[in-house]
Amino acid sequence: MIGFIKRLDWPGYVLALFLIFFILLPIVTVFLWAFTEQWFYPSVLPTKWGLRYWFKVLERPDVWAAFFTSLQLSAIVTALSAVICLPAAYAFARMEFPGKQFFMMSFLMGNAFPRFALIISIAVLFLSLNLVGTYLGVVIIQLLNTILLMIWLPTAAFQAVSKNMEEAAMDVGASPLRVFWHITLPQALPAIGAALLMTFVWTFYETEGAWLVGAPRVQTMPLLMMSMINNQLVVQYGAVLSVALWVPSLIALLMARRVMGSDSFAKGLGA
Amino acid sequence: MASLSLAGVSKEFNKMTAVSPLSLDIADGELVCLLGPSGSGKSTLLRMIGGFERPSSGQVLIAGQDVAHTRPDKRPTAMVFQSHALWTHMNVFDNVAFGLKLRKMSKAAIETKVMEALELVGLGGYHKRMPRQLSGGQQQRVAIARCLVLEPKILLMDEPFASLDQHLRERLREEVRQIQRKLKITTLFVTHAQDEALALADRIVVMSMGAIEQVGTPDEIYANPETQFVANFIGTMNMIPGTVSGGRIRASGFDLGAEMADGPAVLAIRPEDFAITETGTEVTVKRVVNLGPFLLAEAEHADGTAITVHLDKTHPVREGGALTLTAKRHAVYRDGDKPYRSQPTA
Repeated sequence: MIGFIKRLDWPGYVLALFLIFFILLPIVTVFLWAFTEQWFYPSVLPTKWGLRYWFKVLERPDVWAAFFTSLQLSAIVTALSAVICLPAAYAFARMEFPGKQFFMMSFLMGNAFPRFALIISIAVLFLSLNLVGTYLGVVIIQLLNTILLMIWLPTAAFQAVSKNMEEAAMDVGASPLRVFWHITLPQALPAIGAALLMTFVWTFYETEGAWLVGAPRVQTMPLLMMSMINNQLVVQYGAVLSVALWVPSLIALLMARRVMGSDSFAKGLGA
Repeated sequence: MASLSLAGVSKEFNKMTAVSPLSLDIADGELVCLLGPSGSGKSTLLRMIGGFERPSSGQVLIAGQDVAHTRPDKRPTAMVFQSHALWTHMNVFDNVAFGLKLRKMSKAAIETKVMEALELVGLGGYHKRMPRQLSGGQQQRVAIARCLVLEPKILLMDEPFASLDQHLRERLREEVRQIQRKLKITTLFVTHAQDEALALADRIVVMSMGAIEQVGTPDEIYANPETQFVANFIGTMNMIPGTVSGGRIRASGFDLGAEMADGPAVLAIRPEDFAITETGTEVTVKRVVNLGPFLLAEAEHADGTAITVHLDKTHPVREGGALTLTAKRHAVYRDGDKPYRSQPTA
């Protein structure tokens, strides 16, 4: 009887259907559209397959310019975020100072505001600072977006490093700097790696801040995609760019897995 | 190897006293156990010697040199932690070699010393394993090897076997004792397990509420506890409340010598210090437990006082039956007074 009930795991099936319908299906549809030249109702599959739209998109110099701008922005923002946030995360994890809890919560509270409204008010401030329409302005607004993730995740990672491990290293003769470099950092690395990767990917896909502060002079990939879809509603353009945008994050994910090992990487993401 | 002296060492956390000012001398090559219940300050004291806590006052002298304000990495001490604290991203070899690498020794010398240390703790051939591939006992051996390879002047062990099962604890403590004797390394061992302290130590320091209650050899501590706390904490002791009057204590039918001032006091008799006699204090046996070499009888006096007695296995005893007891040896305690101890009778 128990075996029979187990075989008919209805909640599991419902969940699987839900995931297929809301996650897998849209992704499959995007992929299909990316390689479609014609798709007429009521055909279930495209009526004509092809790479025509890929060539159309990829031969445009503004696509490549936007791609490299996005890559460069993501790399700069991730690096700056690491330089600023990782020491702060260590301080939050290991040091006691007045207002520690308040500052930790303030990062969360900043993200609790409606994002668009927050970015508009920052954009107004940037206007007075002549940062609107500049590369630096986009870097700063995207950097602000990464703070929550780059402080909270590494703080939790540093907190999770056993204090006894650090003390044991000190005990055998390691200076505080060596303890951090040889023990604390490697122990926290999977989570830090996950945070860096997510920061890179989020920055790459970030649209609102880049649009309000950077447009039209700073053209990132998501902004270019928006303008292409707005100018002429060809589904294939959107699909091709979506698949193209998916590639950098996939490469980053695969590299991270290779560098850190799948187990520790999954651990960093909380698995 | 070196001697260790604590002179007036104390520790306060947010105005709460964790360790009251205390002094202690440990001889070169001695193994001393700090024994006490949780919160007695023994681990804090050990951490002050290791440099992980800064004393609020006093001196920590290693071979005559005060290291009270020296960082842990600059001290000639090495600590084995209760949690093993192995670095999980390094294999066994790298865990043991880390301290030697920091000392910039040659690769060949490091390899020789690491292998020797692993052989010493019975882990030859395990150098390539990761900590997660080892059992709890093996992990603790690696932690011990990691300390021993540095040849510290003082070895500190903070409840190293607390997370291990009883059988493994007994085996490891024997091994630690053998290694300590072989290397003649001055060792301070923190434990809350009295059997561990009694089996291991050259001397035991019994601590309670941040203060030293008694320092002595295991025999001295067991046979002549100097305070009511030690009497109660070490081994099994019947602590029977009574009253001293005219040089005698009367408690639950016992009437025994007690050369101390009149007033309330506690009569202390170990279970093995009772004799079964024709006349004496009568108790009723509630339960009999066979402990192998002897019987343990849980008895009760008419006034409700519980009394534990060890009996020879040849002695006829049954649950519900009566026993008439006299004390071959007893002590009388009162807080603030010197304890009275009787001379053992045959």
